[in-house]
Amino acid sequence: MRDYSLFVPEYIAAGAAIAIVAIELIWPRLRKDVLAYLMAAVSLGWLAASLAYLGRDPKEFMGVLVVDDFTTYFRALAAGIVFVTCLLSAQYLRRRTREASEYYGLLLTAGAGMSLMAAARELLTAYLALELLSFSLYILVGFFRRDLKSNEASLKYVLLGGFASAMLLYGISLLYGLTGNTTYDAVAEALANRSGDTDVAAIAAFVLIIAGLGFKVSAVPFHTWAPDAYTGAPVPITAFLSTASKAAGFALILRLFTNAFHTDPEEWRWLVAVVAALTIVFGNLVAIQQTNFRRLIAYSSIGQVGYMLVPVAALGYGDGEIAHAATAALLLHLTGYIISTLAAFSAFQAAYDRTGDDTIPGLRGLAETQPFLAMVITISLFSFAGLPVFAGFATKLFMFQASALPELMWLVGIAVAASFVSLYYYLMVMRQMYLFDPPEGASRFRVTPALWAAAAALMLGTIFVGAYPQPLFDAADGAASALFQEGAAPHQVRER
Amino acid sequence: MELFALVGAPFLVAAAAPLIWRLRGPLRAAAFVAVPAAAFAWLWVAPSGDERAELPWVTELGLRLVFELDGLSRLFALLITGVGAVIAAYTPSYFGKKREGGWFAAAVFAFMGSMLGAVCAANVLTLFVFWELTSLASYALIGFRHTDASARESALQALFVTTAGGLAMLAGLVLWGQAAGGYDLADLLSFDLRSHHRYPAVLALVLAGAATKSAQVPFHFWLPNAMAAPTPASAYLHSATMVKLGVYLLARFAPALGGTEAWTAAVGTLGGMTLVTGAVLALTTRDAKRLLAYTTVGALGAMLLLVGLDTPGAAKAAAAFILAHALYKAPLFLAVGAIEHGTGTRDLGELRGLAGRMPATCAVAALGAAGMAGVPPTIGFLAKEAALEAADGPFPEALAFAALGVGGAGFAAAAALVGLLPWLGRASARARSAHEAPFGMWAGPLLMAAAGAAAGLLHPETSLRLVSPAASAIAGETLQAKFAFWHGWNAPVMATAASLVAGAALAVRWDALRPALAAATAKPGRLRPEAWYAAALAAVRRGATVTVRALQHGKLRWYIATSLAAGLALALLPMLRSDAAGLSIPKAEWRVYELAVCALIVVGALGAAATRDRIFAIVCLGAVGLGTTLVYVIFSAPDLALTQLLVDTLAVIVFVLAYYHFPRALPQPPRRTILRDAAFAAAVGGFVTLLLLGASAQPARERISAVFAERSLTEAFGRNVVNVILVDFRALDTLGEIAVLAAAGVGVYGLLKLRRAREEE
Repeated sequence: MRDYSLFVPEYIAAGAAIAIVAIELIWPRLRKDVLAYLMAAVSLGWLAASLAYLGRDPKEFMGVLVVDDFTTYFRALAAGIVFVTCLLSAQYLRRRTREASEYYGLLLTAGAGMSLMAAARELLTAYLALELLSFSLYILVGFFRRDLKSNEASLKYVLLGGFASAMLLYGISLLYGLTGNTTYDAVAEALANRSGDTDVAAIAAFVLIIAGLGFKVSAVPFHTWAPDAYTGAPVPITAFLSTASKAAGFALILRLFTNAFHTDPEEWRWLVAVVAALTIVFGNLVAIQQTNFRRLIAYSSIGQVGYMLVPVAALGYGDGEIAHAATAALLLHLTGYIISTLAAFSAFQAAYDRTGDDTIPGLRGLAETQPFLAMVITISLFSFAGLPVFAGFATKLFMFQASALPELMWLVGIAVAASFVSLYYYLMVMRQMYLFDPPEGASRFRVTPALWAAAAALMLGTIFVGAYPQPLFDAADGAASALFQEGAAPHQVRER
Repeated sequence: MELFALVGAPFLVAAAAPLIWRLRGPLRAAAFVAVPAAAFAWLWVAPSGDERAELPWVTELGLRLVFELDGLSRLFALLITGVGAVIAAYTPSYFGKKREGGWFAAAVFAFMGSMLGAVCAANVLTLFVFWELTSLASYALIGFRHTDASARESALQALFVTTAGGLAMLAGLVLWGQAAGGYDLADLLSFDLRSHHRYPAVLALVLAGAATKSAQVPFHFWLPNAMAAPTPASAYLHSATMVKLGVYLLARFAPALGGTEAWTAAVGTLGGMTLVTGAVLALTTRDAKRLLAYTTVGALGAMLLLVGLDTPGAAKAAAAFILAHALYKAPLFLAVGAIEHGTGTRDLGELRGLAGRMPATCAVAALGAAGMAGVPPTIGFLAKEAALEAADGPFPEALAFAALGVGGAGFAAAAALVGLLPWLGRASARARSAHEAPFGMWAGPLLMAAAGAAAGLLHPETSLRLVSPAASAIAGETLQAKFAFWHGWNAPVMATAASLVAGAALAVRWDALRPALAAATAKPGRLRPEAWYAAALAAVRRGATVTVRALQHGKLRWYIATSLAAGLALALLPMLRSDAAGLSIPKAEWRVYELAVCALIVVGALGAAATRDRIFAIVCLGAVGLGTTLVYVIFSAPDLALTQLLVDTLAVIVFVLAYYHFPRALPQPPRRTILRDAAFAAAVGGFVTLLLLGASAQPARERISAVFAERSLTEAFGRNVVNVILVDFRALDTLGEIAVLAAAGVGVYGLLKLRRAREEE
């Protein structure tokens, strides 16, 4: 049915996006950090509006969008990420630009795109939501028009992104040609009833769709844009890219693969497994070579994406119960990863605001000039590496455990070995912070209260999720259940 | 509840350590000693029943934080808190007034808590968590002198080796837990793994974890290097407790994993090799601390050997030896720390005649050495006798017996080198300026070493409280361990006597023997396990460099090519495998104008690729676009045709505008590049052609306009279909358009303002 009240959170985001541009035009003298805090407040409202849908019966909008607990989960994540990004941007942007409203407006539209990607149950709607996110990001990455690096990053991102979009669309149109429909349910049904053996067009469709989505989450070999974009973008946008963009990609992937593709897993599961293996190995290997903190995080996040693709492959190899567990574990890990990443970036942002240096040696002696920031970064990196009591350990453990099917043991083995390698490059960062003296003339400094609070809260979150994952696990499990309710996934696989 | 307090209290002390460090004098030492001493006392008097404490973690996954205290855990917990109390008293004197001592104490106490957590854990995932925490604490402590590059390197080495092993162990435990359906120790131990097909894998992985942590050959190299740590840390972590975690792990799992030929062969061989290696290498170094580290490696090998042996007395001997080793090795380490403190060196060649200058430290060293050599009446002697007795039998026990004999001789020699020679004879130059260590640095060690000597005499009590319960846990059945000082003239007694004599002879001739021994054991680089570690590290770094150069060079053209090629390869692979079903070439009659349009597109594409003139290339692309437009016209899609025409025209204009500033002639690429690009283009083109053929084999679909027309009146009560679509069926789209209009309005307002601002200027 057409129930327009389902999208109040998106109305808030989109409305605020337009309103803030108007506000800046009408009161141009308003301080730019006030705009940031205003938008942070809006995202809190957005969060509240999203949570109002929690636990209600799933409602569809004309078969193309659905609001259920899964959507709510990602809406809340989107609002949270935008909230933190606004706080990160406040001082940073105030010093660098005279017009900031578009920036915050685009953050909100990007967030709205992410929510819609989670809600979409139809291929073209999903595509449009993805483009809403992508276009916002293209502009945000190149937001500093006079900065050559920012420009180069944006150009590469747009060109490669356009290329990936084309692949995705081509895949969608092939799938439409095959199944005669674009809603997930109908695609699932058509795939289940498809006759004949391996179909060239079906494989091509899956490959193209996986390539397009792989680009979005920066899976190898479709990741090439990420390191340049991460380094060239404004620092808070790097944080946004490594969290929101990936979360959105996985939101889409999860609903698509559990609702539309689950009836024909043989054609795509090996593909996901191969991409996962490539991504894990490549991301972690190349990270070792990096000297720039943001590039390091870019590659390490590529590695993380590889880990998260492992349960996606498990969706294709396991039965409904395993798929459910894998989905819940993926959501949990994704959330833990987002919290750790935002914690790392909050601290890094505070250090960067002071030093203006984004290389790893630029963090030299941070333990002396700002021990709190050094601690937050250390804890986040330990969490990435999956060391115990931090979020990464618990969430990775659940994820690999849920995916440890006989056919995927090799992949889980690679993932575990790679997390071990990752410890090496994370330690390189810690070494700079703890073992070296700060550069000449550097002195202790203070962090703005908003950033300090964000970093502290996120650090505590990282520890909390690691030490006591139960509440978050319950939430993730609830969201995953929405994908596997009756009608959503009767795991009936195509017969040969 | 007490168990949570036991594990948690050291962490609290760790958090407060930098503050406690500010206290003065005895108060500081007392504050540090209080917690481990109280814990030790509680463990000593606590009722002998099995304690258990439990906290839910993630209930759906069956994960809980569970602690249990059985005989084996209690033995280890007593060692951890007992040695910990001595270390806590020793540390303030060792660091004196230096501020860094506070951080050192914090790391030591964090380690103590982790270690207690590891040995009390009744859930293997909990065990793993604490296991890795001990590795982290060890990393911090080895690298504690962080201005020293070799200390940092050693810290990293130890961390990598032990963490890698830890992950292997985790993999093994998860495999086991999955098969058993739970991760509690009880689940694992009650599951019949030995007949399960995963047994070899689990055994290998768990063994890898134990071998790395307990520094077994070929992973033994990290332990001597770890001696870069301050002495209290070496005594505590790298001899008395942490390195025994691997032994603990195998002892813990022996009832379920042991008793097979594979177990005896693997664990026994590993332990025996390590025992002999450690005992021999110990005699090749003049650095007293390194020497002790090698004997620790050897002793850990002996423990593994005993755990691996499948004889009645082995469990008893293993438990006794774990206790004995902690009681003699930690005092020896601490004595070496005191010697270094008093003389400024730990080079055994420079130390002679120290007894007069440092009498208390001398007593510590002598008592410790007696235990290490296995001289009666120390508990070291009883443990050694028990070990030899357990190994007294035909093959394969005979091999173990031989290894224990050789190891015993090596230990005896090492004991003489540290416990006798530095103290006797005429005082050397270093010794003449030596001074005794402060009270805190010898009182605790002396107590511990004396306990080691006395424990042998207090045999029934020691056995009842400590050894028997632990041995029972290892054996998986209730045992009553009995020891005796005299068994008559049997093989073990003879072997003990022989090893003591051989050890003494070795020690006396050591100055002459050492260089020869060092030369004999110096292996060519490629055979040294440490070189493998370095090579592995270098290989990973090199792999990273190569990958970066090959794939992440910043050239956009290549990025696109990589993505495309990867997509192609991924899609083509399964197609090559299959018989390409679903492909069909539509049989249609070709009309002349269709062929003409085709020719136009083909010629345009080829022309664009072949020309070296930019403007001509654009014109050619325009021709391709026009051809596509005509295709749409032929298949009666006028709307598409119009759009295509508009977009193409615009594209040509934009291209021309952009290229206006470029030189007209394109550079001539080398022939190789042309061929490569041609092959690439052909592959992509061929793939798309295949796809189109595949897709066109599918039947056509119904049209959506009919659906709208049909439902317009019934569902939305409107006769004007276009209106209904706009405000009802696709109302959300309309809302979006309105939003776009609003945004555009704001934009216009902004432009107007900009102009006004300019005019004002």
